[in-house]
Amino acid sequence: MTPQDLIERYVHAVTRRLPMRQRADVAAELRALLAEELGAGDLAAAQALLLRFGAPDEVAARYAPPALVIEQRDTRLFWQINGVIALILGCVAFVGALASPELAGDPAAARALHLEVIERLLVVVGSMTLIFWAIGWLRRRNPSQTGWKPAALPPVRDPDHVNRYGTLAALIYFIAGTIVLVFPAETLALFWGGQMPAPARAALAYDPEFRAARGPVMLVFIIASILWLGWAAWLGRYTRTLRMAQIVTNVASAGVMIWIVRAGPIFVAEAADQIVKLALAIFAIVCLIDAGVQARRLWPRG
Amino acid sequence: MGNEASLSKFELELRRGAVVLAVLSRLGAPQYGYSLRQSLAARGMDVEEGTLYPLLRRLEAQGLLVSEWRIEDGPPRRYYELSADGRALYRELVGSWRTLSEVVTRLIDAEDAP
Repeated sequence: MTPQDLIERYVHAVTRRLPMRQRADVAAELRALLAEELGAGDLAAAQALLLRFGAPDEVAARYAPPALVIEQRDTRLFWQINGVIALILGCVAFVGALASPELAGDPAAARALHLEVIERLLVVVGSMTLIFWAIGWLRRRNPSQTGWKPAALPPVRDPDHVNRYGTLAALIYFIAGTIVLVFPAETLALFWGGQMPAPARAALAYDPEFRAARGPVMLVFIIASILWLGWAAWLGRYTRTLRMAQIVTNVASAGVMIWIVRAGPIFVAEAADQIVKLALAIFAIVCLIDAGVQARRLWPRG
Repeated sequence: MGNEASLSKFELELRRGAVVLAVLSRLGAPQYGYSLRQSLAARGMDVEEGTLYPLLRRLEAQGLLVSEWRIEDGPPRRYYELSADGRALYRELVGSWRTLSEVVTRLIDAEDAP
Protein backbone atom coordinates (compact mmCIF):
# COMPACT_ATOMS: atom_id res chain seq x y z
CA MET A 1 0.00 0.00 0.00
CA THR A 2 1.31 3.45 -0.89
CA PRO A 3 0.96 6.50 1.38
CA GLN A 4 -1.55 7.88 -1.14
CA ASP A 5 -3.68 4.73 -0.84
CA LEU A 6 -3.72 5.12 2.93
CA ILE A 7 -4.73 8.78 2.65
CA GLU A 8 -7.46 7.82 0.19
CA ARG A 9 -8.82 5.24 2.62
CA TYR A 10 -8.74 7.80 5.42
CA VAL A 11 -10.49 10.47 3.38
CA HIS A 12 -13.18 7.96 2.46
CA ALA A 13 -13.59 6.84 6.09
CA VAL A 14 -14.05 10.45 7.22
CA THR A 15 -16.30 11.70 4.45
CA ARG A 16 -18.68 8.75 4.42
CA ARG A 17 -19.70 9.87 7.91
CA LEU A 18 -20.58 13.37 6.70
CA PRO A 19 -23.86 14.69 5.25
CA MET A 20 -24.06 13.84 1.55
CA ARG A 21 -23.87 17.50 0.37
CA GLN A 22 -20.50 18.05 2.10
CA ARG A 23 -18.76 14.84 1.11
CA ALA A 24 -17.19 15.65 -2.26
CA ASP A 25 -15.99 19.10 -1.23
CA VAL A 26 -14.51 18.02 2.11
CA ALA A 27 -12.91 14.98 0.44
CA ALA A 28 -11.16 17.16 -2.16
CA GLU A 29 -9.90 19.59 0.47
CA LEU A 30 -8.85 16.92 2.97
CA ARG A 31 -7.03 14.94 0.28
CA ALA A 32 -5.12 18.04 -0.83
CA LEU A 33 -4.26 19.12 2.73
CA LEU A 34 -3.07 15.68 3.81
CA ALA A 35 -0.95 15.35 0.66
CA GLU A 36 0.64 18.71 1.40
CA GLU A 37 1.22 17.82 5.07
CA LEU A 38 2.83 14.51 4.08
CA GLY A 39 4.99 15.88 1.31
CA ALA A 40 7.42 13.12 0.23
CA GLY A 41 6.87 11.12 3.43
CA ASP A 42 6.69 7.33 3.35
CA LEU A 43 3.96 5.00 4.63
CA ALA A 44 5.17 5.26 8.25
CA ALA A 45 5.02 9.06 8.03
CA ALA A 46 1.51 8.85 6.56
CA GLN A 47 0.42 6.62 9.44
CA ALA A 48 1.89 9.04 11.97
CA LEU A 49 0.15 11.97 10.26
CA LEU A 50 -3.24 10.23 10.28
CA LEU A 51 -2.83 9.19 13.91
CA ARG A 52 -2.21 12.85 14.77
CA PHE A 53 -5.19 13.90 12.71
CA GLY A 54 -7.52 11.66 14.68
CA ALA A 55 -9.91 8.72 14.31
CA PRO A 56 -12.19 9.13 11.25
CA ASP A 57 -15.42 9.21 13.29
CA GLU A 58 -13.99 11.89 15.61
CA VAL A 59 -12.77 13.98 12.69
CA ALA A 60 -16.11 13.65 10.89
CA ALA A 61 -17.85 14.88 14.06
CA ARG A 62 -15.50 17.89 14.10
CA TYR A 63 -16.36 18.72 10.49
CA ALA A 64 -20.11 18.43 11.00
CA PRO A 65 -20.98 18.14 14.71
CA PRO A 66 -24.18 16.06 14.88
CA ALA A 67 -27.03 17.13 17.16
CA LEU A 68 -27.13 15.17 20.39
CA VAL A 69 -29.80 12.48 20.59
CA ILE A 70 -30.26 13.21 24.29
CA GLU A 71 -28.95 16.52 25.55
CA GLN A 72 -26.58 16.49 28.50
CA ARG A 73 -29.05 18.38 30.70
CA ASP A 74 -31.67 15.65 30.10
CA THR A 75 -29.41 12.60 30.47
CA ARG A 76 -29.87 12.11 34.22
CA LEU A 77 -33.67 12.40 33.97
CA PHE A 78 -33.62 10.00 31.00
CA TRP A 79 -31.84 7.33 33.04
CA GLN A 80 -33.99 8.00 36.12
CA ILE A 81 -37.22 7.51 34.16
CA ASN A 82 -35.90 4.39 32.45
CA GLY A 83 -34.62 3.07 35.77
CA VAL A 84 -37.98 3.55 37.50
CA ILE A 85 -39.86 1.92 34.61
CA ALA A 86 -37.35 -0.98 34.55
CA LEU A 87 -37.89 -1.41 38.29
CA ILE A 88 -41.67 -1.42 37.89
CA LEU A 89 -41.46 -3.90 35.01
CA GLY A 90 -39.15 -6.14 37.04
CA CYS A 91 -41.51 -5.96 40.03
CA VAL A 92 -44.56 -6.74 37.87
CA ALA A 93 -42.74 -9.75 36.38
CA PHE A 94 -41.67 -10.87 39.85
CA VAL A 95 -45.23 -10.52 41.14
CA GLY A 96 -46.56 -12.39 38.11
CA ALA A 97 -44.09 -15.20 38.76
CA LEU A 98 -44.93 -15.22 42.47
CA ALA A 99 -48.66 -15.47 41.82
CA SER A 100 -48.21 -18.22 39.23
CA PRO A 101 -46.47 -21.16 40.94
CA GLU A 102 -46.86 -23.19 37.73
CA LEU A 103 -44.06 -21.07 36.18
CA ALA A 104 -41.53 -22.84 38.41
CA GLY A 105 -42.17 -26.12 36.65
CA ASP A 106 -42.41 -24.67 33.15
CA PRO A 107 -39.05 -23.32 31.93
CA ALA A 108 -40.56 -22.34 28.53
CA ALA A 109 -43.22 -20.14 30.17
CA ALA A 110 -40.63 -18.62 32.52
CA ARG A 111 -38.40 -17.86 29.54
CA ALA A 112 -41.33 -16.31 27.65
CA LEU A 113 -42.03 -14.04 30.64
CA HIS A 114 -38.35 -13.11 30.80
CA LEU A 115 -38.29 -12.23 27.09
CA GLU A 116 -41.51 -10.26 27.38
CA VAL A 117 -40.01 -8.11 30.14
CA ILE A 118 -36.89 -7.44 28.03
CA GLU A 119 -39.02 -6.64 24.98
CA ARG A 120 -41.16 -4.16 26.91
CA LEU A 121 -38.09 -2.60 28.46
CA LEU A 122 -36.60 -2.08 25.01
CA VAL A 123 -39.85 -0.48 23.84
CA VAL A 124 -39.72 1.86 26.84
CA VAL A 125 -36.05 2.82 26.28
CA GLY A 126 -36.74 3.35 22.55
CA SER A 127 -39.82 5.47 23.21
CA MET A 128 -38.00 7.53 25.85
CA THR A 129 -35.12 8.11 23.45
CA LEU A 130 -37.54 9.43 20.83
CA ILE A 131 -39.36 11.63 23.36
CA PHE A 132 -36.13 13.12 24.72
CA TRP A 133 -34.77 13.66 21.23
CA ALA A 134 -38.00 15.52 20.34
CA ILE A 135 -37.70 17.66 23.50
CA GLY A 136 -34.13 18.60 22.56
CA TRP A 137 -35.15 19.32 18.98
CA LEU A 138 -37.99 21.59 20.09
CA ARG A 139 -35.69 23.36 22.50
CA ARG A 140 -33.08 24.00 19.80
CA ARG A 141 -35.76 25.11 17.35
CA ASN A 142 -37.52 27.55 19.70
CA PRO A 143 -34.91 28.55 22.27
CA SER A 144 -36.86 31.63 23.39
CA GLN A 145 -40.12 29.76 23.97
CA THR A 146 -38.64 26.80 25.80
CA GLY A 147 -36.53 28.85 28.21
CA TRP A 148 -37.16 28.45 31.92
CA LYS A 149 -38.77 31.07 34.14
CA PRO A 150 -37.52 31.56 37.72
CA ALA A 151 -41.08 32.22 38.92
CA ALA A 152 -42.15 28.79 37.67
CA LEU A 153 -39.69 26.96 39.94
CA PRO A 154 -41.51 24.49 42.20
CA PRO A 155 -41.37 25.14 45.96
CA VAL A 156 -38.86 23.15 48.01
CA ARG A 157 -40.76 20.24 49.49
CA ASP A 158 -40.17 19.42 53.14
CA PRO A 159 -39.70 15.63 53.12
CA ASP A 160 -40.85 15.38 56.74
CA HIS A 161 -44.10 17.25 56.16
CA VAL A 162 -47.23 15.08 56.31
CA ASN A 163 -50.22 16.11 54.25
CA ARG A 164 -52.88 15.68 56.92
CA TYR A 165 -55.90 15.62 54.57
CA GLY A 166 -54.29 13.11 52.25
CA THR A 167 -53.17 10.94 55.15
CA LEU A 168 -56.63 11.04 56.73
CA ALA A 169 -58.18 10.03 53.40
CA ALA A 170 -55.68 7.14 53.18
CA LEU A 171 -56.51 6.20 56.76
CA ILE A 172 -60.24 6.02 56.03
CA TYR A 173 -59.54 4.01 52.87
CA PHE A 174 -57.33 1.52 54.73
CA ILE A 175 -59.77 1.09 57.63
CA ALA A 176 -62.65 0.51 55.21
CA GLY A 177 -60.47 -1.89 53.20
CA THR A 178 -59.53 -3.81 56.33
CA ILE A 179 -63.20 -4.18 57.29
CA VAL A 180 -63.92 -5.51 53.80
CA LEU A 181 -61.00 -7.93 54.10
CA VAL A 182 -62.07 -9.24 57.50
CA PHE A 183 -65.77 -9.51 56.63
CA PRO A 184 -65.87 -9.77 52.81
CA ALA A 185 -69.18 -11.62 52.49
CA GLU A 186 -70.91 -9.53 55.15
CA THR A 187 -69.76 -6.22 53.62
CA LEU A 188 -70.83 -7.24 50.16
CA ALA A 189 -74.18 -8.44 51.49
CA LEU A 190 -74.89 -4.83 52.48
CA PHE A 191 -75.08 -3.98 48.79
CA TRP A 192 -77.62 -6.71 48.23
CA GLY A 193 -79.73 -5.59 51.18
CA GLY A 194 -78.65 -8.62 53.22
CA GLN A 195 -79.75 -11.05 50.51
CA MET A 196 -76.44 -12.01 48.91
CA PRO A 197 -76.73 -14.80 46.30
CA ALA A 198 -75.19 -18.11 47.36
CA PRO A 199 -72.56 -18.23 44.53
CA ALA A 200 -71.23 -14.81 45.58
CA ARG A 201 -71.09 -15.91 49.20
CA ALA A 202 -69.21 -19.08 48.18
CA ALA A 203 -66.79 -17.09 46.07
CA LEU A 204 -65.81 -14.92 49.05
CA ALA A 205 -65.36 -17.72 51.59
CA TYR A 206 -61.91 -17.75 53.20
CA ASP A 207 -59.91 -20.94 53.32
CA PRO A 208 -60.36 -22.26 56.91
CA GLU A 209 -56.61 -22.70 57.47
CA PHE A 210 -55.96 -19.11 56.29
CA ARG A 211 -58.69 -17.73 58.51
CA ALA A 212 -57.33 -19.61 61.55
CA ALA A 213 -53.57 -19.06 61.18
CA ARG A 214 -52.23 -16.78 58.42
CA GLY A 215 -55.09 -14.27 58.34
CA PRO A 216 -54.67 -13.07 61.95
CA VAL A 217 -50.91 -12.58 61.46
CA MET A 218 -51.59 -10.41 58.46
CA LEU A 219 -54.27 -8.47 60.32
CA VAL A 220 -51.72 -7.56 63.00
CA PHE A 221 -49.46 -5.97 60.41
CA ILE A 222 -52.33 -4.18 58.66
CA ILE A 223 -53.44 -2.72 61.99
CA ALA A 224 -49.83 -1.69 62.77
CA SER A 225 -49.62 0.13 59.41
CA ILE A 226 -52.92 1.89 60.10
CA LEU A 227 -51.66 2.94 63.53
CA TRP A 228 -48.46 4.45 62.08
CA LEU A 229 -50.55 6.28 59.46
CA GLY A 230 -52.81 7.67 62.19
CA TRP A 231 -49.75 8.69 64.20
CA ALA A 232 -48.33 10.52 61.16
CA ALA A 233 -51.64 12.36 60.63
CA TRP A 234 -51.70 13.29 64.33
CA LEU A 235 -48.12 14.63 64.39
CA GLY A 236 -48.29 16.34 61.00
CA ARG A 237 -44.59 15.48 60.54
CA TYR A 238 -42.49 12.40 60.06
CA THR A 239 -40.18 11.76 62.98
CA ARG A 240 -37.22 9.41 63.13
CA THR A 241 -39.12 6.94 65.32
CA LEU A 242 -42.14 7.00 63.01
CA ARG A 243 -39.98 6.32 59.98
CA MET A 244 -38.19 3.47 61.77
CA ALA A 245 -41.56 1.97 62.77
CA GLN A 246 -42.80 2.21 59.19
CA ILE A 247 -39.65 0.64 57.75
CA VAL A 248 -39.83 -2.32 60.14
CA THR A 249 -43.57 -2.77 59.59
CA ASN A 250 -43.27 -2.49 55.82
CA VAL A 251 -40.44 -4.99 55.50
CA ALA A 252 -42.15 -7.43 57.88
CA SER A 253 -45.50 -6.95 56.09
CA ALA A 254 -43.89 -7.68 52.72
CA GLY A 255 -42.37 -10.88 54.16
CA VAL A 256 -45.70 -11.92 55.65
CA MET A 257 -47.58 -11.23 52.40
CA ILE A 258 -45.11 -13.28 50.35
CA TRP A 259 -45.34 -16.09 52.92
CA ILE A 260 -49.14 -15.98 52.78
CA VAL A 261 -49.18 -16.11 48.99
CA ARG A 262 -46.77 -19.05 48.89
CA ALA A 263 -48.16 -21.03 51.87
CA GLY A 264 -51.52 -22.06 50.45
CA PRO A 265 -54.98 -20.91 49.42
CA ILE A 266 -56.50 -17.73 50.84
CA PHE A 267 -59.98 -18.12 49.37
CA VAL A 268 -61.72 -21.39 48.70
CA ALA A 269 -62.75 -20.29 45.20
CA GLU A 270 -59.84 -20.49 42.75
CA ALA A 271 -60.62 -17.23 40.87
CA ALA A 272 -60.92 -15.11 44.03
CA ASP A 273 -57.79 -16.77 45.41
CA GLN A 274 -55.70 -15.88 42.31
CA ILE A 275 -56.87 -12.24 42.25
CA VAL A 276 -56.18 -11.69 45.95
CA LYS A 277 -52.77 -13.36 45.70
CA LEU A 278 -51.84 -11.10 42.83
CA ALA A 279 -53.00 -8.06 44.81
CA LEU A 280 -51.02 -9.20 47.88
CA ALA A 281 -47.87 -9.72 45.82
CA ILE A 282 -48.24 -6.19 44.43
CA PHE A 283 -48.75 -4.81 47.95
CA ALA A 284 -45.62 -6.64 49.08
CA ILE A 285 -43.62 -4.85 46.40
CA VAL A 286 -45.23 -1.49 47.28
CA CYS A 287 -44.33 -2.06 50.96
CA LEU A 288 -40.71 -2.77 50.03
CA ILE A 289 -40.50 0.30 47.80
CA ASP A 290 -42.02 2.45 50.57
CA ALA A 291 -39.53 0.99 53.07
CA GLY A 292 -36.73 1.89 50.65
CA VAL A 293 -38.01 5.47 50.28
CA GLN A 294 -38.31 5.88 54.06
CA ALA A 295 -34.83 4.44 54.60
CA ARG A 296 -33.40 6.85 52.02
CA ARG A 297 -34.92 9.78 53.91
CA LEU A 298 -33.78 8.45 57.26
CA TRP A 299 -30.23 7.80 56.12
CA PRO A 300 -29.61 10.15 53.18
CA ARG A 301 -26.47 9.46 51.19
CA GLY A 302 -23.79 12.05 50.88
CA MET B 1 -7.52 11.11 36.81
CA GLY B 2 -3.75 11.52 36.66
CA ASN B 3 -2.14 14.95 36.99
CA GLU B 4 -0.94 14.85 33.40
CA ALA B 5 -4.34 13.88 31.99
CA SER B 6 -5.96 16.56 34.12
CA LEU B 7 -3.48 19.21 32.90
CA SER B 8 -4.03 18.28 29.27
CA LYS B 9 -7.83 18.45 29.71
CA PHE B 10 -7.72 21.94 31.24
CA GLU B 11 -5.14 23.14 28.70
CA LEU B 12 -7.44 21.94 25.93
CA GLU B 13 -10.33 23.91 27.43
CA LEU B 14 -8.14 27.02 27.77
CA ARG B 15 -6.96 26.76 24.18
CA ARG B 16 -10.35 26.10 22.61
CA GLY B 17 -11.52 29.72 22.46
CA ALA B 18 -8.02 31.06 21.90
CA VAL B 19 -7.57 28.92 18.78
CA VAL B 20 -10.68 30.44 17.18
CA LEU B 21 -9.39 33.95 17.86
CA ALA B 22 -5.92 33.04 16.57
CA VAL B 23 -7.40 31.60 13.37
CA LEU B 24 -9.60 34.65 12.77
CA SER B 25 -6.59 36.92 13.33
CA ARG B 26 -4.74 35.33 10.40
CA LEU B 27 -7.62 35.39 7.94
CA GLY B 28 -7.75 39.08 7.09
CA ALA B 29 -6.19 37.93 3.82
CA PRO B 30 -7.06 34.63 2.06
CA GLN B 31 -5.21 31.53 3.27
CA TYR B 32 -5.64 27.81 2.70
CA GLY B 33 -5.52 25.29 5.53
CA TYR B 34 -1.88 24.24 5.31
CA SER B 35 -0.51 27.78 4.86
CA LEU B 36 -2.65 28.98 7.77
CA ARG B 37 -1.28 26.24 10.02
CA GLN B 38 2.28 27.15 9.05
CA SER B 39 1.59 30.81 9.63
CA LEU B 40 0.16 30.13 13.12
CA ALA B 41 3.03 27.76 13.99
CA ALA B 42 5.60 30.38 12.89
CA ARG B 43 4.05 32.72 15.48
CA GLY B 44 4.17 30.11 18.24
CA MET B 45 0.59 28.84 17.96
CA ASP B 46 0.72 25.16 17.10
CA VAL B 47 -2.69 23.87 16.11
CA GLU B 48 -3.14 20.22 15.20
CA GLU B 49 -4.26 19.49 11.65
CA GLY B 50 -7.26 17.49 12.85
CA THR B 51 -8.43 20.50 14.86
CA LEU B 52 -7.70 23.30 12.42
CA TYR B 53 -9.12 21.99 9.15
CA PRO B 54 -12.57 21.01 10.48
CA LEU B 55 -12.65 24.30 12.44
CA LEU B 56 -12.35 26.29 9.22
CA ARG B 57 -15.40 24.48 7.85
CA ARG B 58 -17.40 25.12 11.02
CA LEU B 59 -16.52 28.81 11.04
CA GLU B 60 -17.57 29.01 7.41
CA ALA B 61 -20.86 27.27 8.21
CA GLN B 62 -21.44 29.90 10.92
CA GLY B 63 -20.98 32.67 8.36
CA LEU B 64 -17.70 34.00 9.79
CA LEU B 65 -15.57 32.91 6.84
CA VAL B 66 -16.02 32.73 3.10
CA SER B 67 -14.08 30.33 0.93
CA GLU B 68 -13.35 29.45 -2.68
CA TRP B 69 -11.26 26.97 -4.64
CA ARG B 70 -8.25 28.51 -6.37
CA ILE B 71 -5.42 27.21 -8.50
CA GLU B 72 -2.27 29.24 -7.98
CA ASP B 73 1.24 27.79 -7.75
CA GLY B 74 0.26 24.15 -7.31
CA PRO B 75 -2.80 21.94 -6.95
CA PRO B 76 -6.32 23.34 -6.34
CA ARG B 77 -6.67 24.66 -2.78
CA ARG B 78 -9.56 26.01 -0.80
CA TYR B 79 -8.84 29.53 0.43
CA TYR B 80 -10.59 31.00 3.45
CA GLU B 81 -11.04 34.64 4.39
CA LEU B 82 -13.02 36.59 7.00
CA SER B 83 -16.52 37.53 5.90
CA ALA B 84 -18.03 40.92 6.85
CA ASP B 85 -19.69 39.26 9.87
CA GLY B 86 -16.43 37.53 10.71
CA ARG B 87 -14.55 40.84 10.71
CA ALA B 88 -17.12 42.47 13.01
CA LEU B 89 -17.08 39.49 15.37
CA TYR B 90 -13.29 39.38 15.34
CA ARG B 91 -13.11 43.00 16.53
CA GLU B 92 -15.51 42.28 19.35
CA LEU B 93 -13.67 39.12 20.31
CA VAL B 94 -10.36 40.98 20.44
CA GLY B 95 -11.92 43.43 22.90
CA SER B 96 -13.27 40.57 25.03
CA TRP B 97 -9.93 38.75 24.90
CA ARG B 98 -7.99 41.83 26.05
CA THR B 99 -10.35 42.44 28.96
CA LEU B 100 -10.30 38.79 29.97
CA SER B 101 -6.56 38.57 29.65
CA GLU B 102 -6.04 41.68 31.79
CA VAL B 103 -8.42 40.45 34.48
CA VAL B 104 -6.91 36.97 34.62
CA THR B 105 -3.37 38.37 34.63
CA ARG B 106 -4.29 40.65 37.55
CA LEU B 107 -5.83 37.69 39.38
CA ILE B 108 -2.85 35.39 38.95
CA ASP B 109 -0.35 38.15 39.73
CA ALA B 110 -2.18 39.20 42.89
CA GLU B 111 -0.26 38.86 46.14
CA ASP B 112 -2.75 36.42 47.62
CA ALA B 113 -2.74 34.12 44.55
CA PRO B 114 -1.22 30.70 45.34
